[in-house]
Amino acid sequence: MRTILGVAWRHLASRPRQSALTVAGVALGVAVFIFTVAMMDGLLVFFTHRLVRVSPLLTVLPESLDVTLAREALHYAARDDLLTLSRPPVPDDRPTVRGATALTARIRGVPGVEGVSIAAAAAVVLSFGTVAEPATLLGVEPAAELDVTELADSVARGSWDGLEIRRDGAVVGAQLADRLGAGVGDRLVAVGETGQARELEVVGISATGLGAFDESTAFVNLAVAQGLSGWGADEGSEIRVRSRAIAGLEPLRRRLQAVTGHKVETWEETSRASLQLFRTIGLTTYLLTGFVLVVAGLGIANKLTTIILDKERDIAILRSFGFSRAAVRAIFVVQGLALGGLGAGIGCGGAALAIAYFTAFPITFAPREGAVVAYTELYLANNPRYYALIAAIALVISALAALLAVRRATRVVPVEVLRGAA
Amino acid sequence: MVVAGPDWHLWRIQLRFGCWGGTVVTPPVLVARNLTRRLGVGAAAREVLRGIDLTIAAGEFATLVGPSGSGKSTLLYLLGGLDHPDAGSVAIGGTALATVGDDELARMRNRLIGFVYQFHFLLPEFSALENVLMPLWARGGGRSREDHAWGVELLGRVGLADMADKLPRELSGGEQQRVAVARALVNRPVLLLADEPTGNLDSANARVVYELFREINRSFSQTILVVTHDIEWAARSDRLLRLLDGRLVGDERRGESV
Repeated sequence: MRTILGVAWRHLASRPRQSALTVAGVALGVAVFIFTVAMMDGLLVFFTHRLVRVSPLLTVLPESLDVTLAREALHYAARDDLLTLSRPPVPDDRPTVRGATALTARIRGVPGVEGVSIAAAAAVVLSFGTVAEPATLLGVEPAAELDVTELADSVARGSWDGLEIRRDGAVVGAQLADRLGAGVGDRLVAVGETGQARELEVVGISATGLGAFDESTAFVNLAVAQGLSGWGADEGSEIRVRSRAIAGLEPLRRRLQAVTGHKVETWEETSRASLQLFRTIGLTTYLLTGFVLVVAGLGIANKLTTIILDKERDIAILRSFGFSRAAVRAIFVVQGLALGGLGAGIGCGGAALAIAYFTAFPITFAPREGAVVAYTELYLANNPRYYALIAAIALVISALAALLAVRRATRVVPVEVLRGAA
Repeated sequence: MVVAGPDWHLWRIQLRFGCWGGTVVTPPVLVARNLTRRLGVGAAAREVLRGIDLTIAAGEFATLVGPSGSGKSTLLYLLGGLDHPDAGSVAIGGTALATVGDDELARMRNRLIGFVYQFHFLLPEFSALENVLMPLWARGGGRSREDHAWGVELLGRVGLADMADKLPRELSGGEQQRVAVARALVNRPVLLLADEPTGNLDSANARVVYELFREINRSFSQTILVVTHDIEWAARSDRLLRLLDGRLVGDERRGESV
C-alpha cells in the first residue's frame, strides 16, 4: 500500500499546476453545492419558522369523521343500487365546528396540549373610503390566541391588545392595509357573505412575513366573524391547538381526532402545498448544482486520463517487473480519491467560511409583492450533515471518475508499449 | 550440485543461492520449446518466430544476434513472460509460464527475471535508488535497512554510489542505463534479460555497460541473455545465438559451433 501511495503521490506532485486546477474544480463544486443546500434549506427553515410562529400546530377542522364515513358508505352503496341523492345525507353539513366550547375543554385535557383557541373565518369585502378589497376575517379569541400562536408579536403598528379593548377592533395584514390605504385608527367596513355589514376600527397592522396572512387577512374578535358568517356563538371554522412538540405530531393528531370526532390536521399537512413547493425548488436546485460536481468529476477523469496516457510506458515498466493489474488500478484510484478528497476538504472549508461570512454580514433584499414568504434576508442553514454528505458524494464521483479513466491503465499490455517504445 | 524434482520453489531457491551465494548449480534456468509467434492481423499477419528451441543453463552469459526484424526482441519478450507464444512453451525455473495466471506471471517476472531495455525506462519522479528498489516495492518489500543497503550496494557496483538521490533527468544516458541494470538485479533474479542495452549509448558507455554485465556474470554466476547488434559483445560472450527470419540458425559456445 505504501508503494501505491508513494507512486500515486509522485504522479500528482510531478504536475502541481494540473493537480491544483483539478482540486480547485472539485473544491468549487463542493463549495457551491454546500452553499446552495445551505441557502435552500435556510429558506425552508425560515419559512417553517415563520409558519410555525403564526399558525396553530394542529387544527381541528369542521369535517366530522362520522360524516365522512357515512358519505363513503353511501357512495359505495350508490354504485350498485342506483341511488339518487338530491343533497348530502346528513342533516346539516355546513363547514363549521359546532359545540366548540365543549370541544376546547376536552382538548385542553389531552396531554401534550399547551393552548387551545376557537377561530372563525369569514369571507368579506373590506372597504376603506372608495377602496374595496376581498379579504378573510379571521375571528379569534385574542387572549386564548396568545397561547396558540405568536400572532401578537407580528403586530408591527398598533397592538394585539386592541382587539380585547375594542370589540370592533381589527388587526389588518400589512399589504392589505397598504392596498386599502388604511392605518391604525382608521375605520373600515366589512360586508360578509350574508350581506351583513360591520364597521371595524384598525387597532393594529400585522406583518407575519407570510403572503397568505399579510396580503388578505384581518384578525378580529371571534364574535365579529361569527356574526358576519351568520354562525352561532358556539360555532367556528376551526379549533386551533398548540402542542408542546413541533415535530412528531401524528400520535397527538390521532388522539385529538378520537377526542373530538373531527378531522385534525398538523401544520405540515395544512401547509403541504407550500412545503412541497419549497422542496421541489430545492431538489431542482440541488440537481443543477450537483452537475457542477459531476463536471468536477469529469475533470478528475480528464486529469487521470492525461496522466495515464502520459505514463503508459511507466505503467508497462511497472507491470514488467511485477506490479499486478490491481496494483496499477489502485495507483490511479488513489490519485482520483486524493484529488477528490483534497478538493472536498477545501470545498467544505470554503463553504464554511462563506456561510460564516454571509451569516455575519447577511445579504438583504427588498420584499416582493405577492411572494409566498417575505424573504428579505439571506438566511443560511449550516448543518454538518451537508458537509459530510456532499464530501461523500464528491468522493464517490471521484472514485467513479478514476475507475472510468483507469480502465485504460489496466488494459496496458507491457509488450505492446515496450515494443512501440523500442 | 544438481537439484531436481517436482518442488520448483526449492529448486529456485537452490538456484538463487547458486547464483548469488556461491553454490554451483547446472540445471537449465530457461527452457523454450517450439516457440512460434505471429504478429499482425489478417493479411498483414506474419510469423515472426518459427519453432524456436532454446535452453539456457545457469551461469551462462549468452548473446542473441540477428538482423533487424529477425524476431530477437519478440523472442526475448516471450522468454521473459511479457508476451504469450502462439505455440510452444517457455519454462523458467521449472515452471511453464503458460500454466500460471496473469498475477502469478507478474510475480514470477518480479522474482525470477530482471529486464534491461534499450531505453532505460526509469520512472522520472523517483530517485536513482528508488528506481532500483522499485521491483522490491512491487512485492511489498524494499523498505528495510537491508534492502536499502542492497540497493546502495548495487548502485555502487554500477559505479553510481554517489548518485543515489539523483533524479533520472540529472543523470547522463550511460548512468541512466546503469541504474536500469542495478534495478534489474535488485531482486537477485534467476535470469537477466537485456534487449539491446547499449543501443542508445556511445561506444564508451557501451563498453562500461558490457564490462558491468561481464562482472555481474562472473561475480554472481548470473545467467544473462542479451539481444544485441554489438559485434564486440557477441564475440566476447560465452555463447552466441544467431536468429534469422524467426529461426535459430546458430549456437556457438567459446569457439564451439553447434
